[in-house]
Amino acid sequence: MSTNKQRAELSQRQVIEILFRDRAARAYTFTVLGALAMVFVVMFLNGSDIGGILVILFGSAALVLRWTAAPPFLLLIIAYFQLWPLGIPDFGSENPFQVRETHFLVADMALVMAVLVYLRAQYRVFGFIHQIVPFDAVFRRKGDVPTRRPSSHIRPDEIAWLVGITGGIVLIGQGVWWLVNALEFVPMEDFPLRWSDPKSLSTYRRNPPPGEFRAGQNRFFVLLGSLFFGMLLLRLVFGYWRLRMMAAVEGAMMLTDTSWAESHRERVRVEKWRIWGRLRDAELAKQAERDRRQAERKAEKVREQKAEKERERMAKRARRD
Amino acid sequence: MLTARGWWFVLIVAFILVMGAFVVPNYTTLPAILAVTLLAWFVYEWLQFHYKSNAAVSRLRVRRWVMQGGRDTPMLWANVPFEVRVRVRHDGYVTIDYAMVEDRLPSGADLIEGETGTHTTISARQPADMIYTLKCPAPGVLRFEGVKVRVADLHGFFYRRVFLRDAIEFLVLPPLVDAEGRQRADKRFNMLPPPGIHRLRRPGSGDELHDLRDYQPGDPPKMIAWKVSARKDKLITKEYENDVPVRCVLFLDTSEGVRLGPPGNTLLTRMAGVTAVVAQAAAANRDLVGLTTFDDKTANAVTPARTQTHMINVMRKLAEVSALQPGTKGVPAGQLTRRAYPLAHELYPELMAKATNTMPLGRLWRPLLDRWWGWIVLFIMIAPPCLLAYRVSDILNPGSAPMPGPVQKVYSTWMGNTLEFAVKVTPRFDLGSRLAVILLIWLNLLCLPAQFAASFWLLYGMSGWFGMAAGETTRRKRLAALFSLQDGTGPDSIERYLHDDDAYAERVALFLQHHQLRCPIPLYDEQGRYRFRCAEKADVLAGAIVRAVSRARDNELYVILADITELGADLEPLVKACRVARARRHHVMVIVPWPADVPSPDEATPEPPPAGDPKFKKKKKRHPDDFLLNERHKRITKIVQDNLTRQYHESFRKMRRLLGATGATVMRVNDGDPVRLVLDRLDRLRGMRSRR
Repeated sequence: MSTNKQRAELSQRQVIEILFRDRAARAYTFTVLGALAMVFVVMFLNGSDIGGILVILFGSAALVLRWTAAPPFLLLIIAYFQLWPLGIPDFGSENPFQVRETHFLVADMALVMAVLVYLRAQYRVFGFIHQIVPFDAVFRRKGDVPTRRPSSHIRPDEIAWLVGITGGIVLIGQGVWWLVNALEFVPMEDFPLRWSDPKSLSTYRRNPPPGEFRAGQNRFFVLLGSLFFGMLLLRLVFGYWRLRMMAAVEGAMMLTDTSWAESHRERVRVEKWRIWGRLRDAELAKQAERDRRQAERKAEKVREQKAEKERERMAKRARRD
Repeated sequence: MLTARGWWFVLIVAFILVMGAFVVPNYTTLPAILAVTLLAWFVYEWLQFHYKSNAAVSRLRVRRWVMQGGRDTPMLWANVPFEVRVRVRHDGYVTIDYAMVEDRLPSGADLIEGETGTHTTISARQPADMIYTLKCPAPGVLRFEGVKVRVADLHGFFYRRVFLRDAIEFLVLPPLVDAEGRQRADKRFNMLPPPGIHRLRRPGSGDELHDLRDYQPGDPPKMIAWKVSARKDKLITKEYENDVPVRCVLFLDTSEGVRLGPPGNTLLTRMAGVTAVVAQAAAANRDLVGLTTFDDKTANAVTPARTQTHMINVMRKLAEVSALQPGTKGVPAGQLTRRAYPLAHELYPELMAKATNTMPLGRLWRPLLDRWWGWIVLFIMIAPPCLLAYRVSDILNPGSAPMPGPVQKVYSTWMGNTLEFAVKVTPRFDLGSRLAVILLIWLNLLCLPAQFAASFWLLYGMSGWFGMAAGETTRRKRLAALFSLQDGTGPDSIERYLHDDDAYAERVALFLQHHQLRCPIPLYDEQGRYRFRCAEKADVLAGAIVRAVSRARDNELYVILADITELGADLEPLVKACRVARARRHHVMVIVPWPADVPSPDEATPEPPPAGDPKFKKKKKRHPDDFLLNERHKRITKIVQDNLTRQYHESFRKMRRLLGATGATVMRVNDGDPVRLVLDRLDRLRGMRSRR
């Protein structure tokens, strides 16, 4: 798995060769195309034939032409056509029991599974044909060559693991969505969450009693709370672990930096005075040098005057003699 | 660390989640389910990456073997390939799925075979191995810094870069002599003394008869020449020649002027190569070789000897001096930062990271009061509120002292006018609201100068957060923190390096030299003088020669390898020292390195056209090149180069004449074969007419 072989950017021909000729990478290519086909089928069955065609065209082009920004936009397209299957914005009538009735539907799970497989495979393919590791600098510098994962690094069981884990994640996603809607936020009670009654219609009232919220508000609080506290917990755990694994030199740097940050105002003052003192010394030295030269010039002048007087005196004496 | 790809993904998924869960759930729940599932996938990847990052990446270790001739070696030979084996492993229990491991190639070495990087999976049982072959074309010091490891998840969402520092230095000794330098160590003619012996024509304990003299009491009887004594009828004693070893002392110039140039191809490296060959050839001939290195401040001498240990010491010394770099005095601090910061960022990523090496915005704030006019702005900012407060207090306490007359007059006018303006511009509401609005406008108008001054102060201070200066200060602070940590000087030195350009430049230069990174150095000072002339080295060299003469035993050979062409009148001490050496019957050879871009003086230079020749009269018509800037620039460059070359040749001629007058032989490094000439001279000293 050498690095020198991939010094240059890949040409389009090389990309296509990797995608369709390389045995290891070809499995990923067909996984991507298969997932796109699955998305098309589910969307077609939902009555969104235009959306399905658009997804398959856009996804295929992104695969071949290395559009790295394409997968998130493909998500937006899928979401749009789920809302408006014909592609024309028309809300129609809403169903307040939509959320309650749409848990663990096979069509939904198939679509989500296909999208997730597509995304996971597509991003991995970008690792072979575009870049897997970002550049060291924020912006690409001249001479920077993108690092690509060689196809020889692909393990034979990668696709199987990919599909298996994706299936698990789809189930987890459905479970989380069910959980989010099955809980109610009750801030007035000791524990702020409780199971909602699936048969009760109280959450659908326009004006719920004080201390209770409507279904959307419940969803918002539960989602936000789970995200916030979940991230906080993970951050604490991994942050503490990171501190435990920190090298001594890194800790020393943090201490030095903290010490400097707390006292840099005083240190700035000290340094300014020091620089001022140095400049003043230099100025004084220059002044002393100037004075010395001036004194020397004066002394020289006095000597010359004395010599001149002496010469005149001698001349006078000579004339007198 | 989340990559740009990861950020985009999270943002889009969050958008779909918000829309799906809170805007359109009563129409379709699929976007919300999709977003929640994608978020779950992202969290799963995040957890996995961080878990592996802490459990495995932080435990990575590197081990290196450098092998030459099939075995581990503490020193290397130039021009001989050697193998480097690197192993990166960790003792954790987790597998890193994808890692890009790259050994940092040391400067001054050429990759001959193999790869310095690899894409790999690292686990406790599966380390990452790299094997490659390098070759050093020139002597010096080879420094391996360590291994760069970049870890990413397979989707490119997360990324972490670590540098496994494993700094190790190897001396690269000058190349072993070739067939030309290898001397025969046996007697080639029976009439010659054995190698390593020099017949000195002074009385001694040799085998050859030197002279006869009258017997003096105390002379050993065996020395009496009986036949001659019988003939002359008085006792005559035989005197034999002295057998002494031949000694050669090499003086190598290591001043900053000869350190300039690309690594491995400096004048110093070339001279060190010549020195090494001469030393090895002389040692093979059992001659004693000494080495004195000097610059413009000091000289270090290795006394002549001929043992193998001594020769290795000489080689080590040559390798050490070959790695010397020119000082960076005079290089602007900004230029040094631009050179040092990427290096520090590459070698110390965890110490240069924002989390550990911070730059608070308060430190970048531009203090207004550092300028003299800042005090005026401050006065404008606080004077109106103070005056207003004074007036209010005057109203509340009528007995307080009044303001000075002119100020009172101006301020009263200002208050009256502003109140009048506020009343005029206020629309007609009910009385209470109108009074409130008038008061608000009036107070604002009264404090208008203060508001302008405060806005200026804010903008001026905030301007420190943007622009090139902010980036420069941030980079400098991070480097300063790194240096203070390395030196153990604490936070004091951080601020010192931020303020003191000289101290900072000196430390950065040290950092660059330590990591063997050269930076562009200005060759000429502000007045256009060559900065690396190093005239003081003539004094130092003269002192070293006189010291060698004072310790010399017999006719020795002093080989001076120094860049002294442009010293001009400063050569006087050296000339005197050469005279001293010649007066003591020592031989002196001066070998001058010749710049690669200056043609040899032996090459014919076109003579300028004679002034009166009508053939070369100036044409009145302008040359088309005069209109083309590039051509014109080329012509001017050529003229300057020709002049500089002529000047250099002239300096060389003068120097050769000056030293030649003392009896020293002057030659250039690339003038024939200096090694052969030095060896010939050694042979002559030994008493040979011709070699081989």
